[in-house]
Amino acid sequence: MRIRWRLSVADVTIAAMSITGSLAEGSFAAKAGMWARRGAETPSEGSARSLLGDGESAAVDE
Amino acid sequence: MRPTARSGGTPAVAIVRLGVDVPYEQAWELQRRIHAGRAGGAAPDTCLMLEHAPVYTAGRRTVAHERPADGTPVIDVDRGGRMTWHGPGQLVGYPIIALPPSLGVEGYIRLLEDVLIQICADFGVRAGRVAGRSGVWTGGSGDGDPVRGLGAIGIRVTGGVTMHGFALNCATDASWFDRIVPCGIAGAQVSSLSAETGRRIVVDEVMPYAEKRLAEALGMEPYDLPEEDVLRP
Repeated sequence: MRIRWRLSVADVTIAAMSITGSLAEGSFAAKAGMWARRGAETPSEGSARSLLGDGESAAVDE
Repeated sequence: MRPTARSGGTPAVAIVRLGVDVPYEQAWELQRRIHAGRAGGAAPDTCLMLEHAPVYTAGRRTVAHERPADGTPVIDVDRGGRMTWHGPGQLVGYPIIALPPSLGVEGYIRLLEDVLIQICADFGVRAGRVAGRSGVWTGGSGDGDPVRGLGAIGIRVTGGVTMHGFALNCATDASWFDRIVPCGIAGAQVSSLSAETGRRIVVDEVMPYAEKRLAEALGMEPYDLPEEDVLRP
C-alpha cells in the first residue's frame, strides 16, 4: 500500500502559527508539550486556551 | 453598609457561607432571589459557599441514560452541564455576579476552571483540563493512572448575571457517582483532594483557599456577609 503525504500551504501556515504560539507561551509550552505527548485525554495545566468550544457547561438566556 | 468597592476602587464580592447539609432547593431559591437582586442592583456581587445534603441534579444537557437507573430522585436544574451529585465532602460555590462583558460566558467558565486548578495546586494536586470535557481532572500520566474528575462546573447566565457555579470534591465518597454518568462521560472516574493526597482534606480547610482564588481571579476583594444581610437594603 502506498501512502502519499501531502502538505498544503494552509497546513504549513497553521503549523507555523502553532510553533509561534508555543514559543510565546514560554514555560507553559514545555508543560503543555509534556501533556500533549501523553495523549488527548490528559489534563493540561491552566491556560487561557479554550478546550471546550460548545458551551457545554453553560445555559445562557440573554 | 455593604461595600460595592473597596478603597482604591477595587470591586468587592460578598462571601456568604451557608454551612453544611444545605437542601438543594433551599440554596437554589436563595440563588434566584440574590440573582434577581443583583440584576436589579439591590444585591452585591455574591458567592454562596456550602455543602449540600446528598442530591443528584441534572443540567439541561443531561440525556436519559445518564440518570440513575434505580429511580433515585433527581432534581432537574436550569444550569448548563449534565448529571452530577452534590453532598457531604464537596465544596460548592455559587458565584452570582454581573458578568464583565470583556470576560464573556466561555471566559467565565475558563476562569472557574482556573480557580479549581489553582485550589488543587494549593493542596499539592496537579489538575488540569481535558479536551472535550468540562470540569477539572487529574491523573492520566500513563498506564494505571486513569484520568479522574475532581471538579465540575455548570452555570447559568441570565440578564448578564451568573448563577450556579462549581463543585470541588474534597472528601467525598466516590460511590455516590456510581449510579450516574457524571458529566455525561461514560466510565469517567471520580476522585477527591483527600483521595489524591492520602490525607483527609475537608471542605472547611479548602474554603478559604477557594474564596481567595475566586476573588483573585475575578479581581475582587472578598468580604464576609451573613446570609440574612445579602438582600437587606
